[in-house]
Amino acid sequence: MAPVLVVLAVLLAIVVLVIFWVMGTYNRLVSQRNQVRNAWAQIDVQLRRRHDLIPNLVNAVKGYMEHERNLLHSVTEARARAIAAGNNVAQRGEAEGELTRSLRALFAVAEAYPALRASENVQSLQEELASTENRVAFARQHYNDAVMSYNTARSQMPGVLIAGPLGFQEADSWAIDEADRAAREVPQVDLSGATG
Amino acid sequence: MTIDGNAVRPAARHWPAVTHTLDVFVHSDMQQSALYRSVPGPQDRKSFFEEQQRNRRNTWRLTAVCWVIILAMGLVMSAILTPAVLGELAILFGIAGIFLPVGWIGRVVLDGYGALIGNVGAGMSHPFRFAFGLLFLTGPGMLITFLLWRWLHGVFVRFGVGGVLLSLGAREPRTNDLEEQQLSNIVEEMAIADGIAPPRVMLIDSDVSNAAMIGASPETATMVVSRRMLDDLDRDETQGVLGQLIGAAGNGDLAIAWKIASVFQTYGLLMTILMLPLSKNARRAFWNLLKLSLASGKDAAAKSELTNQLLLRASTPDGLDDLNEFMDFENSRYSNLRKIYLFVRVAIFFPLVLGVLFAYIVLLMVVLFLLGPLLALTWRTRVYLADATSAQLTRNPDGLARALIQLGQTGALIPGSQMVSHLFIVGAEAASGRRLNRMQQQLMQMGQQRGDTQGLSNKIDVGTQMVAMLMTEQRAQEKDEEETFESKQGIVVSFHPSLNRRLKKIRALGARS
Repeated sequence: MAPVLVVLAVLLAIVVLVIFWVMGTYNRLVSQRNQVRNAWAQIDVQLRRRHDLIPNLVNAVKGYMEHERNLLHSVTEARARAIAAGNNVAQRGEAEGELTRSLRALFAVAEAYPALRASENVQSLQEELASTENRVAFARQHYNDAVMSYNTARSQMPGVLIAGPLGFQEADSWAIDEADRAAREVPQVDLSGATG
Repeated sequence: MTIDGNAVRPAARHWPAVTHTLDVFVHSDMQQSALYRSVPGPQDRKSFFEEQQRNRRNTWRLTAVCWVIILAMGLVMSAILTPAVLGELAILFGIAGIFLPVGWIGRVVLDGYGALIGNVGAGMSHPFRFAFGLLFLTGPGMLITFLLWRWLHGVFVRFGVGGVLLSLGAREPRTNDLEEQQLSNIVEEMAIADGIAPPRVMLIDSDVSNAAMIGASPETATMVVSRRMLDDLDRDETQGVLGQLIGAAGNGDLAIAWKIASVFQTYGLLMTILMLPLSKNARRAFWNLLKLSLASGKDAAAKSELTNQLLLRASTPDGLDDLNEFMDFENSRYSNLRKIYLFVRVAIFFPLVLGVLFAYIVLLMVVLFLLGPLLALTWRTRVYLADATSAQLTRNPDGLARALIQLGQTGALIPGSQMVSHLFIVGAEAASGRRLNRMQQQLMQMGQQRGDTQGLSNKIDVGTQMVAMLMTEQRAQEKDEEETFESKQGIVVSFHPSLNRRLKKIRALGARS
């Protein structure tokens, strides 16, 4: 065989390998990006589930909490606003945060009503609501996990070469809203003046 | 700080505040749930993402070695069985040739094979010719094995896990039971956390704690949980267990388990087909399989489980028993006429008997010394991986750790689970730790008693009691271990790692229990 042919064959083999490699990397990025999108949709599903449960909750506790009409009203209001916020991420995040806070307030007050805890209906509803809160949290966690592995893949070695040119943009993790950030602010400790 | 869930995902952390106030509404055992508090442990603990990556690499290496072994075994078996089958055909055609004009077929077959062998032998010095010759000698056998594998895959995927669920006695969860309602919720939560579709949930009314996700893929799988486990574990611990099982499914372990089983099934079917003229069991298994591949509907599920067991049996030393029975022409129970008939039968099928015998020896030796231990090690890397995945999904390795400790007390194999025992969160090893503890306690008690007793005969009595107790426990342990999938397949290394090993690894991820 002529040496030229050998060189050509080797070059062809390399080109084919590179094509396969690019295809593989591209497919991996696409599937990870789809996972991120799917995870985002899942958060929405779980938030909607929470919206659907709230009327039941309000109905179930209404009888016991006659004196907390304002509180119940604020929960219903917050739910309505969250639904109205639609798909605007910033507004939606704000409204869902408010709904979370008003639910928190409701549960805090409910502590004062022992009759509530005894009701089987309410107990079952409690489990549903606790589970819903968990689902929202887990959906967010899954979203953030998916974002992390996607972002890692697109900024690490094989992916970084094709992520930019082929338009794989960085995904954002779900941020904490301001009220919660304040709640978990780490206290500053100044050790400069400390003496041993 | 390492790049694990904590550092990158503050969102998961801010939820404790939310759910904390939910406590009023929540069962006391739920107050400790994963999201309600931050992940414990020092900051320099191992990240579960790193742990997962390491386990994935280990799996990959071990899987590659396993495939090489399976291929090599296929080559060897093909090289053994091809001449045996051809020789047998030549004999059968020869006998048929007495009555019909087909005797020449056998001669052509043998001549062709002989020529091929001669070619390979002559080509020893020429690597290409040798390789091609070898390919022609073993290729058809390999191809047939591959086709059998696809056939079985098609049949058993179609029937799914209905048969296993039947043999476990699984039932639907009760909607009016709070614990079982909670179980369905936790399953869905974990499925959301892992981003897979929530599996179907079923319960087993068993007096031991255990749980498994059974199926060929996450989409078609069923989560089975023993009712006892729900009573034994709190919400947090249950979440750890379910996170482990769902994480395993998400990691693709169901497909791996299916492949492991299908390798044994395929060899079982191969042996079954070869033993068709030799054994009643083989004919029954093959007939069942034929009926099964034409049948449909749910009532066939139980039959599919039986067929599965028959096929799997054929790939184990038990299959060799059938061959022994066939060879047993000298049995004194038989009349002389029968002995002669049996002897002639053995003589006619001698090439096949010899081939099957050698194939069995190769199969059993490879499984015992090479493939079995490697498969067990591979599976263990999957278990560790799933444990780390549970830590990722729940962000609370402590829940799983406490669950495993509890399962060491009340967990054991569930009767009827032997075909899928490796899919359960704990296996026979859970009972073994408990048994060891009990033995130690009893021995200490007896030792005390022995010290107190006066007189030699009394001391001997206590000593005899000790030996009897040890033997009973030993026998119970062996009986437990015999009921696992791996042990049924002639693998002496357990698929489940010891609970202590797992706990050590989970503690490295931040569990405090």
